[in-house]
Amino acid sequence: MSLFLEALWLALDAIWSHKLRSLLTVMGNIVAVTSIIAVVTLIEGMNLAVGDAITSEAGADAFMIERVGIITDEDEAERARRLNPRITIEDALAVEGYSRDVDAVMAKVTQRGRVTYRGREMERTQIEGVSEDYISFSNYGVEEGRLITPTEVRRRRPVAVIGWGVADRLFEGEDPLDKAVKVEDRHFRVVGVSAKKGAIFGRSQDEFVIVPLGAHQRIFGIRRSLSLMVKPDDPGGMLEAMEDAVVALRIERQLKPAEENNFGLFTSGTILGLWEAATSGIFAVLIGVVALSLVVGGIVIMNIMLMLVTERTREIGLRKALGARRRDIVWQILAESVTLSTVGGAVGIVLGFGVALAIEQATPVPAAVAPWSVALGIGMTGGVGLVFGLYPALRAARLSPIEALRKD
Amino acid sequence: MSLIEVEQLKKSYEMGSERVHALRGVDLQVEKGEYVAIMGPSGSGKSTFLNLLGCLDTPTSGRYVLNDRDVSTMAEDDLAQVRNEEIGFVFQTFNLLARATALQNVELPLVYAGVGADERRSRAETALEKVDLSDRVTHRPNELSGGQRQRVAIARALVNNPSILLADEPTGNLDSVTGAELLGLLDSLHEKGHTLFVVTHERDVAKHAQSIVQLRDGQIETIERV
Repeated sequence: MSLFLEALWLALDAIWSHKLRSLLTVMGNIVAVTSIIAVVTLIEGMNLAVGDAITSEAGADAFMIERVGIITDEDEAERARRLNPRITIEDALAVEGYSRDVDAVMAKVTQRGRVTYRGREMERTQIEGVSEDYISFSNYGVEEGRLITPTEVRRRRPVAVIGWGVADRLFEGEDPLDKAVKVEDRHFRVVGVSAKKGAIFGRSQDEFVIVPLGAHQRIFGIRRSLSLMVKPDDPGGMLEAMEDAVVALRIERQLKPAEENNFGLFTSGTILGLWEAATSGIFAVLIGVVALSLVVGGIVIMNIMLMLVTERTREIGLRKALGARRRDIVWQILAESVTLSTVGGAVGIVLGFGVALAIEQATPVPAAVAPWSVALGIGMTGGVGLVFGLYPALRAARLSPIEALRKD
Repeated sequence: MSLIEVEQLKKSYEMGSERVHALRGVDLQVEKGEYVAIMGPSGSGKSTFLNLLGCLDTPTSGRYVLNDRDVSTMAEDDLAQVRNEEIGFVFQTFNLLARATALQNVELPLVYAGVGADERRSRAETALEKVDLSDRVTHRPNELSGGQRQRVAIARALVNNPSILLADEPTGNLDSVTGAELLGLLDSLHEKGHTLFVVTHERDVAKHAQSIVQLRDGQIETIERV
């Protein structure tokens, strides 16, 4: 142990007294770990953001029914858009009526439109119409005022809950409650303001207006396909509820057994899965880049360690004369190469976080630290030091003390 | 049984296609506490003999018993242990670690003996005291004079309480005054009961010993009692 500490101290001392050489030696490690940490930190940040976005959109405990499901094939998507009928309120009723496992079904429709208040206006704001069951879904809430009541929804009352961003931009500090905003050309009384959600990938999540579905249809028409959100009684019963929903819709739409579903069904997990499949491609490329820089880095380290062994032939001979066994010498050289390599890794970790933070500052891409990536960076560079230090270490251990001492 | 028993010790090397006989059968017995000088012209085999005595190398044939252990056929790591426990080396060029302090240099054999840090420190300090360098423990070799460096080397050689002390031209890199001081130090070690071997080509140095072994062509020519 004390031998290891001695070797460690020696290694740090040697690194410090040859700063430039050490830096060049571990450049491969630094590049490798910097890229791992930077990419992983950004992907982790995006994962969290995307996860949040999807959950706030679809809810963690609900699944969605859309006209077109998640299709990655462009032709198939086009065909589904042409052939699948619109989702209607009858579909919602069918799903709700069929299954006992379903707690609530809401229908919603979203359209971009103009919102104005006293001459101030916001173009292309998200206008969302919701059916009365929306109240059962966790992703709706207000910070001030109240939600739209189911009765108001049923009676298609001109009331609205506005997002924090809409309140901020249209009212500029004025209290929005009970004021009338105009959506397209119709007046709506503001009854509630949502809490601030922030931005994801630079896009504000707070610029929306929620109105009763019927009121929405008065503005934008009834020909738009709805989206359904279905909440099972028991979050664990998601799959059963989804199967029931498929059966309910197939019966309602009178599909023959051979016909495919003409609607799409997915959960937030499905979307997250797609996202993760996409990012795993980035990881695959990353592994290639990292492996390459680590091998290059390892070879450079091996080269430098061989040089160090030659440089210290006399010292190694002396140590052997004083009683160092072969394994003592092996450990000494290994400790040094592992330390050198790991210091490179540590520098890479710091640089990687720096790069990720800089990107987070300069672009909308978020960053989040994944602790495992730090462990990975240290572990990998330590491993490289061990593997590529082994040959120099064994060569040092094989030196004969006489030869080593004789050398000038 | 003597401390050192050497019987028909032979060593030969392959040098290219030739076989060089460095030692051609040496017999020697040395008692505990003796002070022996080894002399001889270059090529006489004195370096080879010193390497064998110091367990840095193994003989081609013959027997070498050190402190009741036959070391002539030992494996490399066992020899390392014997060197660590039984032998203290003093080299012509001191061979101190430049990056380490005097104390750390003296501690080195104890590190390989597996001695704990506290005991290592106190034993190394005691050894430096014996060579009168208590005020130089934290100095690095480049902050010490030649004579002081060689005394650090002697402290390092003594710190493990070895059976024998092997000095290879210990005054070779010192001026005559510090050389004389160093020989005085070796004399005092001899008086305290240490067993000493000094390899030298200087008659004046050799005269400090009790006996002078003269080597020539790989064999002992004479053993002279001083």
